[in-house]
Amino acid sequence: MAAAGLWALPPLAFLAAFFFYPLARIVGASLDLQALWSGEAFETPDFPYWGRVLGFTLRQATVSTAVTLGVGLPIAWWMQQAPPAVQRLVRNLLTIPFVMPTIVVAAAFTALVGPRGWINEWLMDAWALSQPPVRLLHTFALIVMAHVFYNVSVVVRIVSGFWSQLDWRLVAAASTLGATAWQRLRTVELPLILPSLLSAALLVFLFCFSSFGVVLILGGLRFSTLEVEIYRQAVSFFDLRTATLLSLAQMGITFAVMYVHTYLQRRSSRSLALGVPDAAPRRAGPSRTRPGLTLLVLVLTLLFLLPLAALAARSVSSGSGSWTFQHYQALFRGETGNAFLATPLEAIGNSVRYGVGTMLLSVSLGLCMAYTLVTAPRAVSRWLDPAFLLPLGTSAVTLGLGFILSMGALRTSPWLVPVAHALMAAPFALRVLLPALRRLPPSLREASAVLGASPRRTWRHVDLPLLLPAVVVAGLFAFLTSLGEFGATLLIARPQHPTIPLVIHRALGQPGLANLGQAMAMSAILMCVSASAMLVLDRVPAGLRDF
Amino acid sequence: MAFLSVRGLRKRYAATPVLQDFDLDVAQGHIACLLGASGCGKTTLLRLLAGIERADSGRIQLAGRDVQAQPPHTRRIGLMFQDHALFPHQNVGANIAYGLRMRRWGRPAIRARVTELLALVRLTGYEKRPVQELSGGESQRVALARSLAPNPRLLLLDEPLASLDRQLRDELVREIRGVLRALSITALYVTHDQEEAFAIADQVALMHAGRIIRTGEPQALYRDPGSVYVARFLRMANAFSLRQADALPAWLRAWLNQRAPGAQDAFVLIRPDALAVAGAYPGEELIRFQARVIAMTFRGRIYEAQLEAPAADGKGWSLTLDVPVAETCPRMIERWRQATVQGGTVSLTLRAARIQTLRA
Repeated sequence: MAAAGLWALPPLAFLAAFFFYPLARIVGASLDLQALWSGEAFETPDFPYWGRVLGFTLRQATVSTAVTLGVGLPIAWWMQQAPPAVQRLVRNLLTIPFVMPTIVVAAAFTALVGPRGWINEWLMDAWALSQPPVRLLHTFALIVMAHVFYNVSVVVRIVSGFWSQLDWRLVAAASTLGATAWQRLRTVELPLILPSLLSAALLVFLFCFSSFGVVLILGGLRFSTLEVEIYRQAVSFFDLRTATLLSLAQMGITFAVMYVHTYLQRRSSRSLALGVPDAAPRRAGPSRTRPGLTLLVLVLTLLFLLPLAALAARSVSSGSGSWTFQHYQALFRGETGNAFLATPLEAIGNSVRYGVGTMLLSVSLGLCMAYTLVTAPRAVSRWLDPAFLLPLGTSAVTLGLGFILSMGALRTSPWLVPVAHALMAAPFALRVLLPALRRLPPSLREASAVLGASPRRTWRHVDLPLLLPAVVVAGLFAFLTSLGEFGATLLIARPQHPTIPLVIHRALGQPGLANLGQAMAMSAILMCVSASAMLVLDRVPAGLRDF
Repeated sequence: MAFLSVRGLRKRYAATPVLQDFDLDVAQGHIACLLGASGCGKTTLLRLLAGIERADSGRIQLAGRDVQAQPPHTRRIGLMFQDHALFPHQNVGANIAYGLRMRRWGRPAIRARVTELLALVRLTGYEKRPVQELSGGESQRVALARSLAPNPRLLLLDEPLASLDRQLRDELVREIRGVLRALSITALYVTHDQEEAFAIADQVALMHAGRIIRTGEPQALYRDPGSVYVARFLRMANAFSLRQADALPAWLRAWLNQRAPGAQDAFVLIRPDALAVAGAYPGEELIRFQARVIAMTFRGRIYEAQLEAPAADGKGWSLTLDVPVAETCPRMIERWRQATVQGGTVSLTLRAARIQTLRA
């Protein structure tokens, strides 16, 4: 259809220019075609180096995933039988870390266990020590802790959601056949929820595998994942060839894991379809949980949020035990300190500008993609749908590297930042807008047409107002993505135009209490914005929260 | 020429023909009803008329001018949807005003027109109601008011009562007919429900497999179905093929021979009301025969009697007749009901005037 072609044009042009072309340049650079043509000897890869980087990336991802499952599964088990109100509270509290920008998590852990963090200060005070006793910064353990902090909600949400959908009669049948609670869990419930468990584990693995900010900041120079190594090779050593090779490895593994994940999800959704659709709620009548257990989970959840509390506390602490707003005042006075090329206020301005740009770009792209998928023939949309989602499978640092390689004169344009952010946010916008568009009954548009509205006016008076809630959600989400994005921005943004996360990053790495205080204050602001946005999104009708 | 004139309309989806050489005429100010089973192409025809879809070939003329080149929003043909398709983001008043706003009416004129239409559909004071809070009948009336508001030259109604229950439907059919009559608007009403069609239409067109097989006034259609398909669609069960004469009882064959059926006749129809229950029918030919009573089903105003008589080939021949409760002697009904249990035959009389022949 002609309409589908018109809708498809902007997103396809955008993807071609800012995704496929940079990617092609990465592949081209890694192959080093010139060397091939001239017949030069192929450089043998530095095997120990590759082994070290790849080995560490996989090891930290595996350990992080295992620990996340260890923490998340008991909560998921408790969740599916807890009173709904408490369930909702715990689920929302656990989701707060997940929506935090990387830089906020890094700052939060620094605030909690860093050398001048909450715990150390308290211990030094209490025992009159001259050295900070807890030395977690730049350790493997801290990286894992941060990853667990980030990802527990993924496990809890996916597994408990699946668990509560189980046909409760199967469990009841097992108990009438003489199975004890533990036996029922082991022989009926766990085998049935296994697909969701695998799906959650793969997702967490994927997040940890492409972790950048956490490892870069909390791991220090001792550790580097593929992502961090791409950044270091490209920016610190300017070895673009190694960087591109690492990028290829990163993409290859990511897509492999994503493929397995999609495959498993398709299978598990099929096995779910076999269940009874009108099965009664899993547990009728009063909830079985003991109040003591509920209390315990609540306390643990609050403990879990301790890093964020520490961040908030550090942002208003003067360093000598008294409360102060001096860090915030310093931010808004625009004191540069020695760490910044731009004042914090300028950085906030940049972030907001980039955020608004990202929002406009991703919502427009998302709308075009959604209309393309709705109007195109099925044979075409079947291929376009995954193509539109491809940028999600490419790490932020790889995108940044691609831009460095490919953008030529555009390289210095401040527009490149919202463009990169839109690449990451547009697939989410599509995921929000598409179901909303599909739910729009065609008869409404037809009614509008027979009542005398031209196609343009029908779009304006029927489509747009009905899509508005989804557009708002998509826009808000895009704005937040841009506000917190760290990896790609670190590679692309000009030093004179830093965003909030970049300024925090610089400040965390600089000596001096004033720098740390300002970093904490900015992180705290970012934390509050993200958390409140999550609350707003949670108020949005359930159908719109498909992502 | 008729106000709406459709000639040789064709439409196919992929390999499936939906309309084939479809012809239809509707006179100005008439309410025509398109009656047919689901999937016969009724809704497709309305979508072609409204301009939501394009025909493969054929002509659609409204007031003597071909409208096929026009997009839907300039045709001035109203369409009332099966699911009503009220705009969920607008209240009742805004829904009705929509078509007027699109035609750029002034604000006071719109307000006056909305009030007028709400009064017409008996929903005065409903302007500010959200459409989600309307009952089925109310939302149906709002949809009617909305499609009438811009004064369409032709109003199409696509099974507007399909989602409502029986009682409400009867009430609304009367109401819709009243409104359409009051405005003397030309309308094409589509339904699969024969009672609804008879109640609303000046002219009924029976549709089957993409074309019209019979048109006429409802009374004429009922009086003389003409073809076996129409008879069966009107739920007249007793249509028997003349080609298998052996499957008919001897007395019926004798009666048919004496009448010498025409070359086109392929079926004989015994109308459900053919049973003679009154004492005398002066001047009428009557046929008496014996039959077993298989079942008596109580339907309120009638019993539905399922009877079986021996056919010429020795097998059973079955017949379903209405036994009106009010007009029939109670003792006869009692006897027939007992016959269903005890067996044995009863003797009955048919009015020959209610036996007709049909085309295939």
